Amino acid sequence: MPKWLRTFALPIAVMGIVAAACSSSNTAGNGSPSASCTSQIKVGLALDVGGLGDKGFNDLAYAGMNQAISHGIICQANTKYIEANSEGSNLDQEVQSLAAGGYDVIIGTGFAFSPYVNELATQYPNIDFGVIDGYATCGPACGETNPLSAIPNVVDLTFKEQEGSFLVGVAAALKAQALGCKTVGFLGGQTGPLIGKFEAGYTAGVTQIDPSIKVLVEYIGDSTKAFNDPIQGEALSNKMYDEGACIIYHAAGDSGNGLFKAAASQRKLAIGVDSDQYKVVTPDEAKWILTSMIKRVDVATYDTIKAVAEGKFKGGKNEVFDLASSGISYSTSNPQLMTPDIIDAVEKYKVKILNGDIVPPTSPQGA
Amino acid sequence: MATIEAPAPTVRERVRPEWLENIGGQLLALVAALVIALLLGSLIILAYGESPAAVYGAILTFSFGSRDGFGYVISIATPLIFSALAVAVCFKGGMFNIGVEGQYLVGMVAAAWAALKLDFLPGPLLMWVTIVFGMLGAVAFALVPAVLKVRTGAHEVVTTIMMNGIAISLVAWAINGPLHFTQQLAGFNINLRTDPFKANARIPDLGHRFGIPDSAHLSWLFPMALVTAAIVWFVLKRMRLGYEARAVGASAGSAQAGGISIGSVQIKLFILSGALAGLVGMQQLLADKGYLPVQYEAALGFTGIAVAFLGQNSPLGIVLAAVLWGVLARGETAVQIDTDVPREFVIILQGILIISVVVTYQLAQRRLLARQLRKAATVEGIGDSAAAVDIEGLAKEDR
Repeated sequence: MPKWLRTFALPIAVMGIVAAACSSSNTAGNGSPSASCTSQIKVGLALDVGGLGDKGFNDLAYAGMNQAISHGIICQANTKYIEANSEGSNLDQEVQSLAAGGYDVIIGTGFAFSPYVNELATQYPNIDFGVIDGYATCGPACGETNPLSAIPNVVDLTFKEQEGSFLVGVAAALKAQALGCKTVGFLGGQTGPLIGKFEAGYTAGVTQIDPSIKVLVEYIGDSTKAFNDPIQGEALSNKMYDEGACIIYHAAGDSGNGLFKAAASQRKLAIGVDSDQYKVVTPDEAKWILTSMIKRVDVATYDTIKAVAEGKFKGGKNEVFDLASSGISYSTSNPQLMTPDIIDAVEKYKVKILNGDIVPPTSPQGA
Repeated sequence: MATIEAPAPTVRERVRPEWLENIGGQLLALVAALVIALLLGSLIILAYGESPAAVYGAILTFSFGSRDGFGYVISIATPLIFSALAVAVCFKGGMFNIGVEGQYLVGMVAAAWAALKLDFLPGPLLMWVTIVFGMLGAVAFALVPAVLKVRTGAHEVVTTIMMNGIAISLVAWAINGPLHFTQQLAGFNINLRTDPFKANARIPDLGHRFGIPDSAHLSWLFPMALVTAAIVWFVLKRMRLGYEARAVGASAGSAQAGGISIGSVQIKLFILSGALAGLVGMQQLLADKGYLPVQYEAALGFTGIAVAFLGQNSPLGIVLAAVLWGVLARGETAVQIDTDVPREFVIILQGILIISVVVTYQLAQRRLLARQLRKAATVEGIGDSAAAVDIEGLAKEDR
């Protein structure tokens, strides 16, 4: 055997084995034809950093699209999702390639898609675009190319996170009182106006019940990695627990998984965000989750797809999802912690928000 | 590569000029690396039950099949040319500037400051001043590790890596503080960012002249990158600094004995490298976004190291390698649209490519060195088998 062949024989053999092992696991296709489906609407989902499996935003949007498939609104074969690269630097290309690929409705899962959707919307006027948490309709004031009037085919899908955060703040304060503790915590991801809405609503909810309860606030950081740093999340959670917090609410994406770890090891309580995280984490961690502030990204995605399919899509606006439209809610899936008396109290405040008696703030005090 | 046969003393070596020998070897190494990467990649594709021709075809069509696609490839390549040049300049002097990452971040902050605070400047002057500020900011940040190295001997790899962390925090501080977004827009989740720049601070679009939509952001920065590559080539090949850099890089001790001030050369190289690093951020800042968001495109400095390797630190090689990298980066979207291969395949392919290049280039260099030594030995008439063994040993030592 020549020396060069010997050099490469082992790597090639290993590759072969790996290849054989991988080939059996490839069953998930992007489009298997469904017999009864007749819809012609093509749906493209442009996912943000993290992609499928992030147990958050991207998964929720994907679930919304799948719901539309199972309801027969669209066909599996006509859907496509693409993931961003790890730096999130090809969001523009995601949208552009879906648009060039002839998709009728394209949904970007995250506000980072906004400037690109704004820019491409005039180039593809026959395609309907939706941006979750977006500001694509903001126009030149936000440094974007096209004014609102030029993009009637774009809708921003935003949420009143402060309303749901207010309610979980109420729940946290009531639970803290029951436990006889005077401190709760908030773990934010990246500093900024978006997470500020969570913090402001939560703090207001806690104060509403008991102004003497102290709210500790920690943010992971200023960079984009703040949503993807569970180790830092765990460290900051432990810090707040050590300072006397008995319950911590997080709005920190994947970093929040550090909170659940800390909660389980310190035997203290945590509050989840976006989806019902009681159902997502391990059973050991789940039993410490009081509730979750639910942001129905799946509903926003589903509604947008449905509107396009039914020819009722109306763009050129910022569509707000809140408690009233059930786009925002809270979970009651942990009966051990979320007892009926707490649920009753939270429901009362929910009615007050719906009536307009209480308007939760959108930015933290002093900010 | 097994053993080098002892050449017969009388055999006349094929005479080829050194530069041809050099370029020939490099080109061979690159092509070999590309072939190896594509072959190994094919195995992965086959494992996914797809056809390699279809997947590679999709990647190529996505980049060269439409004007849009080609525009995107070029705008991805543009900042990589600058960052790879910045890495290569230091590398010629035997230094590893891992800090291009941090330097371009600081450059973006300095440029954003100029674009926002000096917006009274008329016409394209604002753009040029902004670019110069970007370069100055990066140079200032690059000078710290350079001076530390020359004065205290602190290794630049350690200091530049550490300073990258400082740069990240500096950007966050600037966006949160002095360059904070000043407008109140209720109801929108505007991310942390600066105010939008005025139009005359931005680099004009070039792509639309070739029918490429503005959204591809192919700007005049690309021709500027090509000119910059030519300038770097000239400095490194035709100017004294280039000669001194190569001398210091090859053997600092000999260079000093030859009268070259090592410290001064190292500082000059770091200044040049920093100035190039300052241009890395201009694509996203002035051609693409027109403001500095907290979600800026990071890691261009690190990717630049890979591109510099791929281009073997030669300006022409770097331009080609950057375009190749752009094709692969665009392929990350292509495979998802047209095939069932996941986007991670492209990342694996990039990794294999880098490793292959390092290996084949090393082999090519050893072959070249062995041949040169053998030629020298032949000339001196000591071409017996003992000398050949020595040569083999020397060639290995050279690694």
